[in-house]
Amino acid sequence: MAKTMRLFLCLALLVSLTACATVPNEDYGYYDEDGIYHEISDPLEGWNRAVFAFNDFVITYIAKPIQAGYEFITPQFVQTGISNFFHNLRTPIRFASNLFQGKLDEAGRELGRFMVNTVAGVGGLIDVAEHVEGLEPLADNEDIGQMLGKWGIGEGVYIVWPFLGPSNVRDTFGLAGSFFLDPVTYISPWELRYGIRAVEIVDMLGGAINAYDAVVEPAIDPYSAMRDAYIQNRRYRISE
Amino acid sequence: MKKYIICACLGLCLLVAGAPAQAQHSEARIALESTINQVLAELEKPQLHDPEARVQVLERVEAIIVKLFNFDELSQRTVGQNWHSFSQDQRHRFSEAFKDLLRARYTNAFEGYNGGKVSYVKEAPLGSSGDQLQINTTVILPDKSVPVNYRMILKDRWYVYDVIIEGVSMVQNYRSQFQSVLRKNDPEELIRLVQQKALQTQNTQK
Repeated sequence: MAKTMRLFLCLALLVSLTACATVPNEDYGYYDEDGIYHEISDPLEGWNRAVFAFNDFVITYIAKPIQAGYEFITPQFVQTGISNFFHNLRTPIRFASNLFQGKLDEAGRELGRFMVNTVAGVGGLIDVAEHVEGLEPLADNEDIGQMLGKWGIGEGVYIVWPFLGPSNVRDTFGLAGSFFLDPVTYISPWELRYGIRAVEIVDMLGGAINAYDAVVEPAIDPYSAMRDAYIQNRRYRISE
Repeated sequence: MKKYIICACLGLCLLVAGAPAQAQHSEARIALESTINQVLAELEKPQLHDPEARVQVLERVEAIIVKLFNFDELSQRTVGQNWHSFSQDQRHRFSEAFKDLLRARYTNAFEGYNGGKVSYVKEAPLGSSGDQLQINTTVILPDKSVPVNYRMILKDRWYVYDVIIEGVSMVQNYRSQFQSVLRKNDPEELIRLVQQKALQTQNTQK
């Protein structure tokens, strides 16, 4: 009974927060050249800016040195193998997302790639599937947040999480969903699971740092640049 | 970001090379491709990888690209509603500062040029005025494909006024930053920040 109540409250919260997204906020909206008004909800700007500054510190003084060290020590083929391994492991998330968006072709391709790469690619270390016609890598990594977006659930307010970075209400629920679809979550003992997670994090640092720098380095207001880039990119990926 | 710009330009060049037998392309596309061809010709030169000669190559690339972008149009679009509160002198100085910033930023990108492949996806008009259109391309890098779209406007000739990479519009991204600054500061502060950033970008590349 308590569980059902909690689930209901969570859903109610999600719905009510996403409803906020449909009310234009004069301070944070703008008119584009066609005169159409776009609103970007950022009522949490105080918190978001503080967390953004914290994340910037973490990236500059912790993430970048770790990533540089990792890249220096690890041979390129090992880096690629690890990257392939984790990408392969996260197939259930992408498969489910594609499937429930009605993207049956893409879902099939994810499944096909998973099977080929796990068997012929030594547990996902090697991407052999890219050489198979019809099983080339997909253009976008679909996630649960995109799936919810496709269902018409509004993005909700912009939130920046410590370490995780920019997000919004809907995408945060998406992250939770991805967590439950991630096979690593179900590995025990906890030492092994945390060990694997640590490697997973180091692996994704490179891409995350590049994406971060691409937006923040040329910006005169890094916080706004990141917020805008995140929101635009999510809306685009959902529409595709 | 750098890789994407390079490949975007590369791809457009390859568009020309790869489609000789196609029906006549629009003037806009021809303008775009011709610029990119010239840029590519410069980037293909071995001097790009020589630290001494590189500067001249990048300067020539800069000069070519600058002709395709209309900076008054860009300045006006990125400052948005606040443009009418800028004086004539401020508009001019902002335009110049913004031009410096973009030049520095995109020239930086070319230093990492390493080849890539681009394919032309489609061209479609924007709005009903007939003087704006969007050309979609896909830049194919070793590890992923990046969609890059160009929005062009016809004035005395065709100009690019926006580059949209993976759904993120350059104009919109700068606009959100400039609006954030202008909400609390006057135009002078914005001009100063843009000039400062342009200088900083230039210094990191030399």
